[in-house]
Amino acid sequence: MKRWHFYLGGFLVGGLTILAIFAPFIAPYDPLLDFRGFENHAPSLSRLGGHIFFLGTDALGRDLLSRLIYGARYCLLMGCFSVLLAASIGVPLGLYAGYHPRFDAIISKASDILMSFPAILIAIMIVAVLGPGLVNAIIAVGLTSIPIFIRLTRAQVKAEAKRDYVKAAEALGVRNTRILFRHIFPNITSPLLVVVSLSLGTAILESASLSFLNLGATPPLPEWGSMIRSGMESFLSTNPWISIFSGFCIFLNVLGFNLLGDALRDRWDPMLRIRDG
Amino acid sequence: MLKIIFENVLTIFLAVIAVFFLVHLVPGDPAQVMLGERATPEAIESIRKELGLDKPMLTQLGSFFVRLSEGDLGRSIRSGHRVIDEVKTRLPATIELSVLSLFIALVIGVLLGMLAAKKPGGLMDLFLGAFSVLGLSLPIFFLGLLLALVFGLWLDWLPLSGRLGYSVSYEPQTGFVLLDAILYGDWDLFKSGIEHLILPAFTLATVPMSMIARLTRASLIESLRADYVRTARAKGQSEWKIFFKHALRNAMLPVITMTGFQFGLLLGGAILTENVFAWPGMGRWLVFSVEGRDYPALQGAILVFATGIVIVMALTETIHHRADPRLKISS
Repeated sequence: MKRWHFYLGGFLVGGLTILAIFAPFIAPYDPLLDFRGFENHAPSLSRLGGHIFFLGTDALGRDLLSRLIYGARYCLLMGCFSVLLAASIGVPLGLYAGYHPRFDAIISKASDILMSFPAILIAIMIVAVLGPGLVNAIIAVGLTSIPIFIRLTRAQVKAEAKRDYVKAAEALGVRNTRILFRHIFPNITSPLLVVVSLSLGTAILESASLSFLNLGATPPLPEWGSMIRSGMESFLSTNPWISIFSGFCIFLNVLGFNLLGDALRDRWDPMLRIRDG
Repeated sequence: MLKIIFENVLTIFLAVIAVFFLVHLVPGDPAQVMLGERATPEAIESIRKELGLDKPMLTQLGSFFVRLSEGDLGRSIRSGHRVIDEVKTRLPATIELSVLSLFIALVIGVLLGMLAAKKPGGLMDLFLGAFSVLGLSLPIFFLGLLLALVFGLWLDWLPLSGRLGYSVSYEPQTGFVLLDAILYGDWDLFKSGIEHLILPAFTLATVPMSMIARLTRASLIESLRADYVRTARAKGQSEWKIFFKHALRNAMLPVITMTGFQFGLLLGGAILTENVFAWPGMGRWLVFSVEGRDYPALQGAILVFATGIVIVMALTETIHHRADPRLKISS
């Protein structure tokens, strides 16, 4: 039923990855190179002084198409690293919380409290401490995504812990840490992959939001969120294309990860498949 | 009930501690960071004294709590005004925006959900599915920008930004523009206020709207299948009455409580929306304070947000328990 989710999501995510990896070969110009005298051009197919600016130029005369293509790198970089950070802290905490009741009380309560606050507020708090910037935005977004990983891992571990193979390992006297990482963990990787995909979408959205607020990646980096901001601040009335195209890029990528996550969830969550009929 | 109060007091207590340590976790000397690199040693020393940064940590924490209990949040470094006064001028703007958005989201969301649930798999249901995928993936600041561009710039129907037009004069009494306009009987003020409010409110309403619509749909479909609906039908009641009186009424409970629990999401969206439309509320002030490294203002803003969320959550939980007697038995 949701097959098209998988194909469209895969297409969008695949496209983003290809753009990010091969940006120098695909982009017509250097994203930081400013063409003096060609500032604020609207999208056009005509030749301007020997150059074609398909999507126009920005306030400093930089080619928008090239900046958007290079922007895929920052989008993917910020998304992947923040999710990696969140998973590497959240999954072990979730594993322990699901298996040790005493740990569980503290960790679950803490993650519940964190989750009741909007992620962007906590991310802003973290950036306020660390200072604005690309790396700090990644750290902030990563830290705010930890509770999701804790919650899901914990729930999965609780379900797995009742299974016979875990009971058998316990009866054999296998150490707890080994049971968690060698026995349970490999069995919960599929649902984890779903969360990874869904939180990549959220992480991209959140890091773009931080950049939009001038708290993440800052100009001249060709990051989509900060490009929307600079397009909005200076030339919304004369050249709205910068903001429109950048926003559209963010939207397509978040959509891609969300659709892919949805499709994967349908595939791996048999309960959901039965319920949806 | 006691448990709810205790848990929420604990959350606020933790938030206060986190906000207190915010200043101390800043790498380097906080006073130096706040004033910038070109600050004179005297200025740094005086800020340090004013914020009590020269005293031992525990003394600082103690006096922070004492000052908070007196409603004193310190002074903003950038403006020099008392933080509590800055909150008083900005909080009504954010509340006005959030309340109107929530209202729009509830009315349209429930309506959409009802139409979709009437005929699952129908045209309206498909539309709702597409709408909720959009709502999840479209960055709220981009949506706001598009709305501003279309309705503010190209069609020129509504103002692009701000809270009031330049031509109207406004003496804040309650701080809520619409309420004050009604109190004064000032029609021009009301018109200007509502015109400025429409675009930001619709922008902010989209995400909760798609969530409310999906929830209403799911909850209605479930209650339409319930035994009491079959009984009502067997009694020969009209479809209209069955839908509104039996099914919808029971389906609304989870919708209302989920909306309350997702209040934080709404405030997160408000931070972004306010920055798109230059809305002079708490969210815009929060971002200004981070940019300006104005830590006292930042502490105040975060505390207000945290307290607001905790209060709404506690209220929702209380209503939830009151409205659904089954919960009382199970707990």
